Amino acid sequence: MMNDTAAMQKQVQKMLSIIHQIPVGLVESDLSGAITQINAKGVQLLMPFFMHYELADANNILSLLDKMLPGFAAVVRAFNKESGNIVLQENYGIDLRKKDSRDTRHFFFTVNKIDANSLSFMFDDITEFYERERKINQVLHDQAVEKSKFEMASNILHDIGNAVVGFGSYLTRVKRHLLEYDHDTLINLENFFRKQQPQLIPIFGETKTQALLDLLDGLILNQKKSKEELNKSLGEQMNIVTHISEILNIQRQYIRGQESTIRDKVSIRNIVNDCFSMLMPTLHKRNIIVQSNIPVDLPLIIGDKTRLMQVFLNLLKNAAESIVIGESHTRQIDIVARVENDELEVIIKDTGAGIDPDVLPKLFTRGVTTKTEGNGLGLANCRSIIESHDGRLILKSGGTGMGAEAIAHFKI
Amino acid sequence: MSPEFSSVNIIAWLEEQGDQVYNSLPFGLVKMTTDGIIVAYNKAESDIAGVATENAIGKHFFTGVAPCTNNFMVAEKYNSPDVDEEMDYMFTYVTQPTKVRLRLLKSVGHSHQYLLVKKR
Repeated sequence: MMNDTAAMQKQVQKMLSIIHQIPVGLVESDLSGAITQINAKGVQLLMPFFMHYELADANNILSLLDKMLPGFAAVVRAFNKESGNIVLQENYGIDLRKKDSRDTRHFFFTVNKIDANSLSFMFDDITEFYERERKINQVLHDQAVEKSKFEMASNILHDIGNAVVGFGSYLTRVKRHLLEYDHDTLINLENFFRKQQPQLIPIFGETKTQALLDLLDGLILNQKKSKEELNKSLGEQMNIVTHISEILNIQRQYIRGQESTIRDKVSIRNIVNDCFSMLMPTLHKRNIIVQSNIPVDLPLIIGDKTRLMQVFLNLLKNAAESIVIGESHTRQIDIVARVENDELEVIIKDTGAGIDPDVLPKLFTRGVTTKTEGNGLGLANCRSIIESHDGRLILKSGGTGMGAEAIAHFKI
Repeated sequence: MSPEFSSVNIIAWLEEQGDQVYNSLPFGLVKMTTDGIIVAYNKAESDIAGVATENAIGKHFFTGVAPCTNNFMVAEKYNSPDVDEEMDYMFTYVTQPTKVRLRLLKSVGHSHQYLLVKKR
């Protein structure tokens, strides 16, 4: 039968074996730093440093720490209590030359004074965790920056949008006032004077009476002219406001699209037809004929209906504007949708001003436009939206005056 | 006549020998496949490291038996096709530090790699 001491010794031996194998560096030393016990991981971690600092004896951990982390050993030596914790889970960066490269390793250290004569050191190389955490933090930081950029852009667009809407409603009020202001009053006055002409001549004399009537005539004509001018100018301003609002809407949708995308089965036929209906009054006013050839059985695609509508609205508007700018004889837009090489192809072809071959490749760059009033955001956004649907947007033109063709491809 | 710890061409000789010869050597010997799996672990090595031969055979040396060598100074050197290097190192007998001299041996054309160990 094994006696208690032997059993305990066996237990201690077992415990030591476990300590020997645990994956954290462990060292016991006396107060001078001379190593009395070290586990396997301790050797694995410290030996390269002993060699690096040419401490061939590899028997004193405080001498090593003096080289590895100047100041650290001093803190340990200065500890004057009987026992207790000296350093707790502190992280340190240590420069280690490895072959020809310089390498910073990150270690954590815990140091305890066990009793009046011994110290324990617990440590591990946490470089990989450290680097991973640093990378994760960097990614989180970048994401936060990106998000705040979008939020800021979104807020700015919202504010500009509100201002533009306000401006638009003031313009409407001015226009209404202008319409209400009746220049018939002046005409009535003139008619009155004209009727009273026989009575007026004896008072003012014939010449002065005629002059008075001529003056009134002139006033009426002037007022009519300036009212027409004002009306025209207000109309143009309203158009500009509408244009700005549309651009803002597209931008807002685009920013919103960065945050979430709603993808569903959508019918390109319905989308294009909706866009066409929305633009019908404009197209009609501009005497533009639209020929549409979209089969009923066109396959559906997975996409975001709102964003795709922005794309086709934009492309149709571009086509219409190009026809107005080009003052074309034939004022026609052809819309064709078909399946071609396992892709859904939508072609919007116009008889408008066409595109200079030098400008064509740059047209998708933000800020580049051929329109005098354009801001060059439309096509770049169209392309972004289509690409976010795994599609492609191509622009073709035979040159200035030759019309243009926008071709969108979607995977089925 | 058996070679010394530092003898040249020792690897060719070791390849020819069996456990009986290994156990008679005056220094520790670990014979591994080139993947690091122990195929022979002699008595001297067992005495230095405190690991019984039967507990070592079949295990991965650098991770399962001597994690203290699993660093770029020792284990990673065996990634080269040819190694013959001596160095002072430290082993732990359970947790007692033991000063040793190591010889790392690996050579193209031989199916095993070796670690020779002696106390300093």
